[in-house]
Amino acid sequence: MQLRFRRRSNDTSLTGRVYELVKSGAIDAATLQRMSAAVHRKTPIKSVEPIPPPEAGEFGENSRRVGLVGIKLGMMPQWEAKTGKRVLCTLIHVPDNQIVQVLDPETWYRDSIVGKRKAYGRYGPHHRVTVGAQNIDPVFLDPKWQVYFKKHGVPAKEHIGSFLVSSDAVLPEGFRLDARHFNVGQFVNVSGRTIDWGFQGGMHRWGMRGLPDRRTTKAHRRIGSIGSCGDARVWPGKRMPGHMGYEWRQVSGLEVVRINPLESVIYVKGSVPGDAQEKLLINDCLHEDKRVKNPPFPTYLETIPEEDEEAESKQVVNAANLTSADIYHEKIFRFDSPSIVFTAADEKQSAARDKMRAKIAKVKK
Amino acid sequence: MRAAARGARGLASAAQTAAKKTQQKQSIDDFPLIYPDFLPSPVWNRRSALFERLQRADMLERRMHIDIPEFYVGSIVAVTTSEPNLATRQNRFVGICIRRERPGLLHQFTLRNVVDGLGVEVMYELYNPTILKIETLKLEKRLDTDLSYLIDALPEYSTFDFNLEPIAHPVGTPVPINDTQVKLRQPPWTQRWELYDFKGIDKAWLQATPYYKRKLRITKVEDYMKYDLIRAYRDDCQEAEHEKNTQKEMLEFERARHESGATKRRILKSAADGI
Repeated sequence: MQLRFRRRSNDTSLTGRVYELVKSGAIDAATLQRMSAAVHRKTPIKSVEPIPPPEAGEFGENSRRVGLVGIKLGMMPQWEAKTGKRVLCTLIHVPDNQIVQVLDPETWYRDSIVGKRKAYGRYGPHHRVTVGAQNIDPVFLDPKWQVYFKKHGVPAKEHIGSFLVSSDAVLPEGFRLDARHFNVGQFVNVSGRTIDWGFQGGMHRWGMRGLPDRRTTKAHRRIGSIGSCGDARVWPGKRMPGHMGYEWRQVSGLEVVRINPLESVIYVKGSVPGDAQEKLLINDCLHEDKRVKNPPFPTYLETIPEEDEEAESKQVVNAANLTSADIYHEKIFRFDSPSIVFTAADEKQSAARDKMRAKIAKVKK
Repeated sequence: MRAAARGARGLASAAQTAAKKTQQKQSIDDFPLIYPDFLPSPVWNRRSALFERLQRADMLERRMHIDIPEFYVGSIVAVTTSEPNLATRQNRFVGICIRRERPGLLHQFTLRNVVDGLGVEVMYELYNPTILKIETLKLEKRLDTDLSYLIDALPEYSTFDFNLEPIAHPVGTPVPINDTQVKLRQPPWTQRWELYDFKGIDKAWLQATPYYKRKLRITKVEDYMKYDLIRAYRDDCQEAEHEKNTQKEMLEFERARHESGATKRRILKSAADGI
């Protein structure tokens, strides 16, 4: 059985040394409270003026919307309403998503090496929009990150991620994003760090075949030869044992089948890179045949006005109404409907079956 | 006659108070045994409070629309499923439950029966929407929680009549334990049954061939695993606080649905406790 090595904990979040110390118990609750008070004095959360909502626009051919930063919760089965076929879905939690920083193409190009590659592209200039997820007490962040969030007037976030956004889809800093930013039925790309497998040998890391079970001395899982005599060296990049996994990968074209707006959870059909509780970046799939049509542009704007927001926060969300506001794909079975019952129309139609039926009828006669 | 009437009234009131007492009892002691699908995942990393709440919401909603009765490994269960290609659009299978696996919506149970001399095992997902009806024909337990060894046992131990009439379990009495010890066929078997500690197998070690007995010394026997308390805590996933909170959530869900008038079905039931 392969042992899975524990990677450095919470590496995808912005939490620093203080988080480790609190977890290990080196900093007790009273000390943490004092530290937190000191940080809040240094970076007071000022009441921010309400951000005017952007105007709804048209999703054009070269438009690119912002994405969401999420956390992988796990996988759960759902079923198709018509056929009863099982659909394994990944649940992605997108808590407290907020625009943290917007960099226009000119500044991004000037100040960053990545900007020099990405700011001006084939489809036009793109802004770099940084989105933050999951509010956190700033005491757990490094001072540099505390200053960063204070500068942009946004509560400290545990995870951030940046997206390429076209000029017509740019949103103001501090704007809150909703899980309904995506449409049910649309396709998305999900990127994240893959599972950390630790130090692995050639067979598991590169799919090598090892050496035979018989007539081999102590070398059943080794890599064997690493080069030829003529080269008199080892080629750079030669596949050898080493660290495997925990690399940034993107899976594209996953279908959104269900959205829970109360808890900000997106159900996506298929699997995504990484372990549970790890950061993910989700954005629209722009492949020709999977490109989204008529998404909320530039984002989901039907926000609840302030008075209703207060009323909703008073309503207790318990198991009975947790999924009451869910948006389902029409093909997905809703658990509040009765069991699936098939009719004659659902029967498999084939020439062979009709032929057999005719034969039986003839024999019966 | 007056004495008789008074006696009858006394009996009736005693029954009423007994019923009230059982109704007031809000928690079941054997909750993880009756509802193994509500146990958290044995994989530590997958235990997320939000994930479990979302899963339970779907599970409870489904339980409100179909009656999922209490059954254990060793009970005889009949399952009716929707089938698109049959004339009646329904298929009913009766068998003994040999295993129950997986947490949450993935929970599955396997029924075994011998049909026309051929052993058949059918795995059902408990929350699959094509399941129309689940009936417990005979509620009982066995000496083991996994009856996979029936595959190598004599066929009479796995044969059950498809037309078996449901045997009612007197509510309030403990679930009976069927202590039959099955006789296995001649070895070789599909698994090394002689190595495991199955109480429901009759003399597995004596039947094992000398070859396998000689090979025992190089076989990986992990008897010491039962002493690993941390492993048991992690893998059994039975935490009192979690069970208490889950039962409370189930009752709240029930109450909310009853109040809205959607249904009168009850989810939290226990045959042994009489609620």
